[in-house]
Amino acid sequence: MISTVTTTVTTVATLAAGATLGALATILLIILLSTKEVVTADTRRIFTFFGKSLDIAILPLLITFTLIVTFKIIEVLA
Amino acid sequence: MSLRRELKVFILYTILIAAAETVTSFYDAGCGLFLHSVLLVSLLTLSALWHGANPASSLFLSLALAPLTRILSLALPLIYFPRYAWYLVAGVPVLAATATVMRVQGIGLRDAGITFRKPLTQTWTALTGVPFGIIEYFILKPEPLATNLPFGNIILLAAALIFSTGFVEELVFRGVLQGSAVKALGEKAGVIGAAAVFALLHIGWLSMLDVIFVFSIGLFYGFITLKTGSIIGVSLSHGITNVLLFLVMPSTP
Repeated sequence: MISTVTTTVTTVATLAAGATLGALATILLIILLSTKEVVTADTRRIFTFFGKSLDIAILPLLITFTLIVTFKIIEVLA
Repeated sequence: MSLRRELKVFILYTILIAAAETVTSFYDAGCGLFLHSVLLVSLLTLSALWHGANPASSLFLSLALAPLTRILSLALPLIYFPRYAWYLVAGVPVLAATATVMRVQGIGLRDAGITFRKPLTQTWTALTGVPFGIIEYFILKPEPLATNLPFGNIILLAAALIFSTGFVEELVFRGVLQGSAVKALGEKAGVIGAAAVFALLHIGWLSMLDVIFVFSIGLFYGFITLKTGSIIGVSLSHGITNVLLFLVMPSTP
């Protein structure tokens, strides 16, 4: 079960559910990074634009991934 | 491609976003995140396919911010942060995504409404946040965000709410999405479309009355942004609404 606080803030009830969602977002990030690698190999305008567009999702997902990894490391060390 | 077809595609994506939000809120957050991911990739692809040939390319690139916002809000490890820090933590990646949309499309700060025009209108618009916050409190009756915080921390929390829920969300929905929608679909459809997407992302509150109320506020904010060319007043109003909704009203006996 999720609870929405505002448009940008939604929380899940359990740590396990949060971990699953974090894993799904990480898979999405990997897919987007792989796609960017493939499309930027082509210099046609449509692919150049698509490569730039992918940054819209890649950048915030990288921030999210960094936070997830940081807290996992802290959790393991603690 | 005719305007009619672009509008149909926009309506189709709006319905799909509503479906993904419904799945996220009522069925399973994981399935919802998957559906939002499919929508995100689909919107980015459509935007690239229409790039250079159709002005709606920018609209669908901007619309990608809606599923992306939900993906980020679900995936961020907010549970590790104190509740009062959630808004800033959630606001940073959304702001990064919005800044990237603006860079890719060549949208300047003024184009996105980050400019102070018509100060009198901006001031009274900001003050509308007071009645909006009180009305929404009686619709949702949320728990207080924080209790027994020192006064200084409450001020910081209010500032964080105004920045991350007021400014960031208005930049996404009115500054970028509505701006692109008005260019691609016209003023009327653009304002209604952006307000509809904004309202649909409130399905998670499980209150139809709130979705309708937020849609009405979205129309009002959209109209003000269209007429003044600035998001400053609506950002302050949105922020004040949330300060009253989450901080002031729940703590009032």
